Amino acid sequence: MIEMQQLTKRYRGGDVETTALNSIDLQIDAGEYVAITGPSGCGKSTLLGLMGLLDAPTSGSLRLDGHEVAGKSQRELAAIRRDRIGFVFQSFNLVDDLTVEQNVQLALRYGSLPVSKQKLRVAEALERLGLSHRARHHPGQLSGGQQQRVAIARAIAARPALLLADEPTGNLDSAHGHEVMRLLSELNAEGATLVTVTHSAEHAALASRCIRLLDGRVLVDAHADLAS
Amino acid sequence: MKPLLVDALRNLKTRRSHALIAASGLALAMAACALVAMTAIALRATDPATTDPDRIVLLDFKGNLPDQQNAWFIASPLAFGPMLKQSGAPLDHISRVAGSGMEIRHEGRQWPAYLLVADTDAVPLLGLTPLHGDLNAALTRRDGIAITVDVVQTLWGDLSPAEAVGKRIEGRGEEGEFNAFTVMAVLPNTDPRSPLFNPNPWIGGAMAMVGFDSPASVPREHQEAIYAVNGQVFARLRDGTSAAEIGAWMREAFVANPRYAQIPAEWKTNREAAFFRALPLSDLPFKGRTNERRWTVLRAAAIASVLMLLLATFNCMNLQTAHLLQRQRETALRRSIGATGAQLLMLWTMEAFIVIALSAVLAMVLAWWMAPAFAALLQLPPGFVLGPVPGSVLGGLAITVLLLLPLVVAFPAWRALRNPPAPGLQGRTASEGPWGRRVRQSLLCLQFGGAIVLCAMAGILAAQQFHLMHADRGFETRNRVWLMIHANPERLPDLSEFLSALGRHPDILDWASTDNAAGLPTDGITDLHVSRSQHKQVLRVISVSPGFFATLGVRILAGTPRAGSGETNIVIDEKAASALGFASAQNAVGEIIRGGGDFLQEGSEERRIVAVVNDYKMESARDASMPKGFIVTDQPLWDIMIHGKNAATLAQTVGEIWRESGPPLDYDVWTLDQSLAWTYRQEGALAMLLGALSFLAVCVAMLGAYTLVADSLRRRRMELVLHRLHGASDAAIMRQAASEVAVPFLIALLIGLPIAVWLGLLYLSGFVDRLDPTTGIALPIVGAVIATLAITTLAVLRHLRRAASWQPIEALR
Repeated sequence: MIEMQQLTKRYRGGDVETTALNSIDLQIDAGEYVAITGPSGCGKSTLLGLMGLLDAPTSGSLRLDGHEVAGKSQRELAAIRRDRIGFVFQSFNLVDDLTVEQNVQLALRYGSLPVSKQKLRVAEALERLGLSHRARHHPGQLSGGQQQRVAIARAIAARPALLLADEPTGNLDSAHGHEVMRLLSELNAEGATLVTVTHSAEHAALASRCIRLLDGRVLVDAHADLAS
Repeated sequence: MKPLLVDALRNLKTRRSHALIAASGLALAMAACALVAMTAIALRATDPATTDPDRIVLLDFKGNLPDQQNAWFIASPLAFGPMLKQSGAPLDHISRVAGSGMEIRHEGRQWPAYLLVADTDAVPLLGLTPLHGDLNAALTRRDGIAITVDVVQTLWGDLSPAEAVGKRIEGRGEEGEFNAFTVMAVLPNTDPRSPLFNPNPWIGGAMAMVGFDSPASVPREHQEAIYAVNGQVFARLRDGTSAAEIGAWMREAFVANPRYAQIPAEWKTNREAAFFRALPLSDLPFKGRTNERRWTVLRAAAIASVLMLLLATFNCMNLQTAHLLQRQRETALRRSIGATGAQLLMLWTMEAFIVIALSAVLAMVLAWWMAPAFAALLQLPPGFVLGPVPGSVLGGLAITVLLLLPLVVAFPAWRALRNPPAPGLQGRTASEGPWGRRVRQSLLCLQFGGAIVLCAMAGILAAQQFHLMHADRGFETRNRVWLMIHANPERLPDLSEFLSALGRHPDILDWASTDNAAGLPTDGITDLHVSRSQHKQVLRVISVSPGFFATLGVRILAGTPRAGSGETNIVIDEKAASALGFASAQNAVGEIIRGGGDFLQEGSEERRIVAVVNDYKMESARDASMPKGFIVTDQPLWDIMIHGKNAATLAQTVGEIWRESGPPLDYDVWTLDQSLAWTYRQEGALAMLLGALSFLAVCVAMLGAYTLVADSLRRRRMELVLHRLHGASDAAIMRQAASEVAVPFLIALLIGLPIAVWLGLLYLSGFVDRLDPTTGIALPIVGAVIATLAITTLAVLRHLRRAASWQPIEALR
């Protein structure tokens, strides 16, 4: 599903150039559950950003579903994100002024789905996450775990093939964290490719494949079956 | 208190741009309010020399002629002075004052002055105090005269008042010959608040005063007329008497006068021939057509200023709400270390107080600085000084500060104190909620609405002013000037040399003389005319020289304007021809009509119609145009209209010809456009004032929109990034961001447009000659909407572009 060859990302701040990712070669197949781990500053989020087409590599090749991403316009990238990729963030990134269902609908807003179908999808996603009774609440009225479930509902509302989660349990207590990881695992089991960045070894162990980064390079790329 | 102040100042420093925007909007609005208040206070003031102005009254008279619209004159027949004395009315110091023109001659040159003929009782009554000399002697001695400092300076330069007393001058009133007078007293120039003040820009402060026995006085028959408004009668109310009682005394004296019998029966049978009242001097600043119009202008300015103050207050409320939401972490921290709600409220109140008080101080300075320009804009009489800022205005500003404080602080503080501190400490900021957002958008909506109404009104007034200046009045104004000679119209000097020079000058195309300059509104003579077919019509009649029509480009429909030899020739306009029963202009030419009476009585003078011209308008646009008659004469008349080749140099050329070939008299040259502008000066002042205020209001609203959008986008940044993440295009992001102001703007249109239309129609209803109510209102309103929209767009464009540049990667940060 995702192929990276010699993928490099450098940032320039004034006269200083920092290499966030250095010649990464990586292939992630459809349906995989990949955990990316590593110390702070190793390039985890940068890698996730590149996979999510939120950022452009400095050099190298990135192919999604067999298509080269480099050279695509912002409009084309936005369309791919909209149709193929769902995001879950550590800080939930819910809009305080919108209700739960409006937050979820945000993911469908720029697609071609008619509003009536959007509403159906939102209802399904909320039902799936057990949040139907909170549809008209605002994020501020929910617990952290519930807020992250709303974020997951938003991520899956467009039925993406690829789910990218950036430390999804980082702001949650362990009970809510386990709950969120269980949900993500379920979604993976249902067919979605899941790539999650995590600091938690326990949560990384749930993945079928664990990639450990260090200083912008892949230090370990271990499949669970091989590891076991 | 000091730590609180230091804390508040430190907080303000960190958000100085917000504070500056809020303060400047408030300062502009408060300055406008202060200026209006200063003007109102100055306009309602009476002459400080007059003691107890509530007990001194002016007798007022209103004729009640059949089928006529009559207005109070703020004057009366002089005869009411002796009549009320004889009747035993409860009045003291009854004194007559008559104003007219005077020519003062000295060393071969002549100067015009305003002449006041007064009884000696006027001296103590009106607090007239000479700088030097004996004013009573000036009013009792036949050869006595009092003159103002301006006259002294004109005649003798820097001569002191003491040295001027005893000097001999020559002068004559409107009738009679030059007589020698001895200066018995020198008066200061008349205070513009005095009821004796004559706001004549051509004469300035030059005034002379004589008694009723003087050779320059009003003729005896004028003093005795009971239906001719020829002066003012002042008196002091006796103790226990009210001004309301005096009208009945006046009526009784009027009816008892033997001359009452001479009033036509149809004026007084089963009806009142006139109405009477006494006005305390303290009421005079509000009475009379000019004063009433001036107050109308001031009222409109007051409404616009208060509206602007509201807009600026909404700005402050919005900014304060946004700011306190932004400070949730700081607020939570303060609460976590033990600050109570009351202490936080004190802090925020202190911050708001500093901003509002700073605005008030700035407003005071602005009001003081702008006062002269404002007085000029309102066309206040010369010498009318606004400022320094009076104590009552300062008090008003202080009260405004105290009133604004709870308005600006209460709602934002209530919102901020509702949020629990814990989430704030964790860095989680609570939303202001849908209601908070709605309240802020409602305030912005009112700001836009106010700005749109003001802009639309400014547009309508400007369009009407343009219409007044450019409407077809039946004559041309381009390249035409009016030469006014400062001389007694009854005794014009020989102008033949000047007129010959005028005719010879290559830059002068035509000239003509008239007794009523074009472009200025005039009551003129209204004279009932009767045609052979017994059609009767009152014509407004002026006298003109034969070249008048060619000079002013008046279209001649039939005949040739020429002066009669042995008979009176008249030119009438199309409207008059039709009213007098002529089927066409050609049919009217050569016909005789009878006139020369007055507006009710048929005259016996036969006048031959020598030409018919296009409709000619002399009246102000507020009054209906009457049919016109022009008596064509070769006699010299005092207003000279001149048509030249070059507008830019015409006035200068005429001045040069006058100085070379004219008699030694003062003169003025105005272009006809200047005359029209003078006629509509109050409408013009109102249009300019509203234009300036609406510009400021739009600026205030735009400052609000600018900071609000900046703040909203700061708060909504993550939301917009998420939109971007989910596929929103640049346009969609900009649409999202623009919706912050677009919805309030659209609602403002819904509220503001009907109000603007209603106010526009109300304003235009005051004019007979006005813009077409549909296009005349629609175009300025569309212009106002476009202007407001354009400035709003400019204000928020920078933020929109910034929002469009935000990238979805930010969602990961």
